[in-house]
Parts: sequence; structure tokens; C-alpha cells
Amino acid sequence: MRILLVEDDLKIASFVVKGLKEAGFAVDHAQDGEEGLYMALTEPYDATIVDIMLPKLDGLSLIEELRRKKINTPVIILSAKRSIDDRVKGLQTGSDDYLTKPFAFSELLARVQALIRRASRTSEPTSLTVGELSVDLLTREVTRTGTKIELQPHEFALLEYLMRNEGRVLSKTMILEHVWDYNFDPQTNVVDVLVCRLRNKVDRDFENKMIHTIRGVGYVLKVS
Amino acid sequence: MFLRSLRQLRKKVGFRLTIWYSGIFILSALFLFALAYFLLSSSLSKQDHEAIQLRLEELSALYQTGGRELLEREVTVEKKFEKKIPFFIRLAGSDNETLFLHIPYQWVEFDIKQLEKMTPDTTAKWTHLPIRNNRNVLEVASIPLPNDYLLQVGKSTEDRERILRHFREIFTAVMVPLILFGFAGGAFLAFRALRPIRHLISAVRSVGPNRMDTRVPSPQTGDELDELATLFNGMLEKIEALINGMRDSLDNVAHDLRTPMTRLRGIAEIALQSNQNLETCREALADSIEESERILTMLNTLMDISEAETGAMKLDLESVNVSALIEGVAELYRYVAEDKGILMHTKASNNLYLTADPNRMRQILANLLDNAIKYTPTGGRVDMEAHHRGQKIVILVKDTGIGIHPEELPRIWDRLYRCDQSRSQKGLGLGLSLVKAIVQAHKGQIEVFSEPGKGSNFIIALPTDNHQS
Repeated sequence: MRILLVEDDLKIASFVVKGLKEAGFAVDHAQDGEEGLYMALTEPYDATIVDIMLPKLDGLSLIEELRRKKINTPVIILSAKRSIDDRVKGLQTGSDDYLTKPFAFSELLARVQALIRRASRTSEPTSLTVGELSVDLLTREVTRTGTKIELQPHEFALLEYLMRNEGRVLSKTMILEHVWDYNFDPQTNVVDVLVCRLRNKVDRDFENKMIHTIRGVGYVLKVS
Repeated sequence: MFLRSLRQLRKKVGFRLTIWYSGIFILSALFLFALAYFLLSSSLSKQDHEAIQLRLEELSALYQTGGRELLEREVTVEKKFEKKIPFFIRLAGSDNETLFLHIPYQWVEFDIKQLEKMTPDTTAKWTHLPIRNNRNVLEVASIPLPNDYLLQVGKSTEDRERILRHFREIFTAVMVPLILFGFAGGAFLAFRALRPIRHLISAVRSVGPNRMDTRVPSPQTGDELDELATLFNGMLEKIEALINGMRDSLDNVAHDLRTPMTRLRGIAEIALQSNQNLETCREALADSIEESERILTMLNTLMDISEAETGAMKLDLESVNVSALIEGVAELYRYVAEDKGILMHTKASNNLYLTADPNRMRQILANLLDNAIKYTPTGGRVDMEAHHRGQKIVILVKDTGIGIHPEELPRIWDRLYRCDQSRSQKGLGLGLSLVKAIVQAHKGQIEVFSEPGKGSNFIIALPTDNHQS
């Protein structure tokens, strides 16, 4: 998997490149819009991360140019502005996403992975298994080491989300968006409460804990 | 260079006004003169024609009574007494040959032969005989006599011309100063008319980023310019309020962010200074991330409040089913309430609709519900209800919690204000400010009734058809 990052701030670029490489991606970095456009036009990428404010050629023009040349690589837009302007909205086809600065790297990573997954259209599995935990997506049956676990709808949605993203940290914002379809942070502990409930059902009676809290970042499900 | 400055001058309203004023003035003067000249010249020529006609009839009568002798005698007498008005008199035979001719000495230059060459045409009343190298004309009237004789009486136009020439000279002498006067008057009028505009321009020019308090002096005349000045002052007023508002909120934001920034710095400093183990350092890093997350949330919320208060908040208005809205928010807190042992209840009929930004509505209701659950002890009850009240939709968030002290009630909407009892809880102290700002951005009102120990009741009233103007 190869990713192009177009970002003029070198510090941000270096931590993003480092993080993506650690996550197993090959990453190319362009420092301005023109260089980014050239690279995007000449090399095949699985995803592109583009900052909006760029020297020489701004991010939106870059993306517009790419689309005009019929290059439909999924794009994540990074913006320092909170409110997304209408042009970005216009650009947002099914394969695009945006993230506002400052962002958590884990969130960027999760979004990149989601985009690639969506673009490559891997076939939907009917069941998920992580370690001793397995979920049947059709019957919505959850078992751990054979023991059946009863979950309420939101709890099930969270568990499914965590399992689909095994080993990846999911932020509270992402969980809110995914489980309740809320696209703002209501400044509450609803996510913590939901995770706590899920833990009580999935982890409490077992020795190996699977749901972990990464302080300040979010939650992750993994086999320890 | 000259052309360019001329072109620029042409663009000046003052210059254009001057040209218009003086142009109209000069044109009317010219028109008046032309009229007077025409009237004068036509009345003079009428006078001459009448005199000629009269003389012709006189002489014709004389001829008919006394024949040619009487005519000649009359002319001789006339010559002798040198009557004031001289006439040209000619008697022509049947072949238009001159039988008798009398020309006053001053007109001898006229080529009388021409009259002989002309075929006498008695139907045409006037014959004009030009003088050589002169503008004067001999006007001749003819009358037929018996035996195909012809009597002609004429007069030179030179007297008339002299008067008219004099008139023209006077006019030219008058017109030059008149044009100058016209220009001067035009310029003066333009200057006068544009004076309030110049005041306006200089006032506008003096308005700068640091001098927003300047106002245009209003002439108090009630005319268009007065209105313009008033309108302009009104606009300045609005801009000043907006700029001050923005400056204030920027100051507030900067102030509000300093505290968490200090905390963030403190955490990092302590971790750096002491020789602590890896685990403590990791703790400090996690603290830093949490703190920066808080700062970001705070910044976003402060900006939301500012935007909502200044009317800059973009609302994606659509028709919202109130019952679904309340249910959705309650769903978000279902587990939280359940875990805390609080009974949560919603009540709204299904036919309530609001025109509002659904996301913002969810945000404020979530905020209120969050507070209600936070400050209600286990075993308590939280209610969300919606109903019609006149043209408005009222949404209630009621709890049986700790309540708010009456002294603190008016201050709960202030930014970063936290009641004594709420300090133990997590929070930014911005929730209620945001709620109020968003409600007001939707042209609604929010009230609170609260009694310590019994609970609080937040009441939002929103217009049903909230169309942004």
C-alpha cells in the first residue's frame, strides 16, 4: 500500500510519515502543491493525504486537477479551518474524507485505512473473529471461548466497530460518529460509559483483557 | 499627461456639474438673443416693407390721376425737400425699358440694368437687387400700371442691417463676460452642492482601523444628503459594534486559553525537570494529549459561541421532527442514565416540526441532558418534553437534581462560569453559553427555573418557521 502525503509543514509531515510507515505503508512526501500534483499524476497511489493550504498550488486545485485527469485515488483533506467550505463539500465523493487540524494521528490512520478498504471494496465478511472473541454478523451472536454474550444494540455496534479495526486505536469522536451517527463532540462521557459497559460484558469475567484504553487518544481492541 | 489629467477632471462630479450649469446658462442666453434678433429683424423688415408698399400705392395713385408728369413732379419736390426716408422709384414701359428713374445718391451703386433684364413678374411681390461687393440688398416692390407700364418702388436694407449689426456687436460684447460669469456661477453652484459630499468624503477618509468613532456631521436639512449621512453613520455604528465584538471575543478567547496552556506547559516542564522513570513520563505525555484535547474543544466551543452570538454561525436549516430529535438525544444518554440509576423519560407528540439546524439542536439538547444527568443523584428523574405553545415549540429539560442557587442563576449563561457545586464535575463552563447562543441564533429564547435541592427546569422556546433572513 502506497500513500502520498502533500504537506508543507515539515514537522507534521515527519510525524505522519513516520506513523504511516510504522503502520506498514510506503509513504511519499511532497512539500508543495505542484510537486504533489506531479507525483500523484506519475505514480500510482492507494490514497492521498492533502493539506488545503499549500504553496504554489492549493490542495483543492490539486484535487480538482487530479479528478479532471480521471485519477480517482481516494483523498483525505487536511484543513486548519473548522468549518468545511462548500468547495470541499462539493469534492466529497464517496471516496473522500476530511480531517481538521489539529488531529490525532490514530484518527488519520483509521480514516486512511477505511478509505483504502472502501476503495478496494473487499467483500463483506459474515463473521468476525479476534482471538477467542467471535461475532456472527448475521445472527448478531457474540461468543468468547464459546460462552455466549448478550449485547444491546449500541454495545454490539461498538464491538463490531472495534473488531473490524482490530489493533487500531479508535478515538471517541470516531466512535460517536460510528455508533450514534453524531458528527460533533457533545462533550460527554457517553463513549466512556458505553465502553465501560462493553468491557463488563466482554472482558470482566476473563483473564486476558481485550479492550484497552489509550489515554488521551481512544480505545483499541487487540489480543494481548 | 495633459489629456490624462483632463480625463480625470472629466470624471469629477464637480466639473461635470459646472459644465452642465454653465452650458445650460449659456445656451439659454444664446437662445434669448437669437429670439430677440429674429424678432427685431423681422419687425424691421416688416416696417420697411410697409413703408415701400405705402409709397408704391401713393405713387401709383398719383400716376393714375396725373400721369407721368405728376409722378415726376412729386419726385422732384421730394428731392428738393430731401425727405427723411429715401425711396428708389422706377417707371418702366411695356418692354420693361426704364422711362423714369429716381435713385437717391447713396444707392447709385446698385445695378439698375438688372431690373431691365428681368421679365417683370407682378405676381412675385418682391424683387431683390444685390449691390456689388456688399451685403445690402435693394428691395423692390412692383405694381402694374395701365398700358403694361410698371411702377417700382424700392429701398435698401442698409439701415436695417446697420441696426442689426449694432445689435450683434453689443451681444458679442456682452456674451464674453456672460460666458465667463456662467462658468464662475456654475463652478460656485457645483461647489456649494457638493459641499456635504466633501464633508462625507473627508469623514469617511478619516475612519481608520483605530478611529471607528468618527461620525459624519449631519446637516439636519432633511434632504437626500442628510439621509445619506445618517445611513452612513448607521453603517459605521454597525461596523464598529461588529469590530468591537470581534475584538472582545478574541481577547476573551486568548484569556480563556491561557489557563489550560499554562497547565499543559506545567505538565511538560515537570516531566522534563525530574529524573522520573518511563512510566511517569508516559503519564505526563498522556496528560498533555488530554490537556491539548481540552484546549481544542474549548477553542472550538468558544468559536461556536462567538459565531452564534455575532450571527456568523452557518445554520443548515431543515424541517426537524422534534420527537425524533428528543428520542435521538435520549438514546445517546440511555446507558449513562441507566448506569447512574436515573429514570429518563421523554414525551413529545409525533407531529411537532421545527425549522432548525438538526445538528445544533442535538448539540444543545445533549448539553442540557448531560447537565441534567450529571447533577441528578441516583434515584432521580430526568424528563424531556416538547409541545406547542402558540406559534412556538417549547422543549423542556427537567431534572430532580441539586438545582441552582438563586444567586447563581443569572450567571449560569456567562462563559466559563461554574457554580460552586459544579466545580467537582468535569466540564469547561461553556455548555450553557453555547446553548443560549445557539438558541438565540435560531431566534428562540431559553429560560431556567430552579430550586436548590429540588431540581432545575430548562425551557427552550423556538419559532416553528425559523427562516433565516
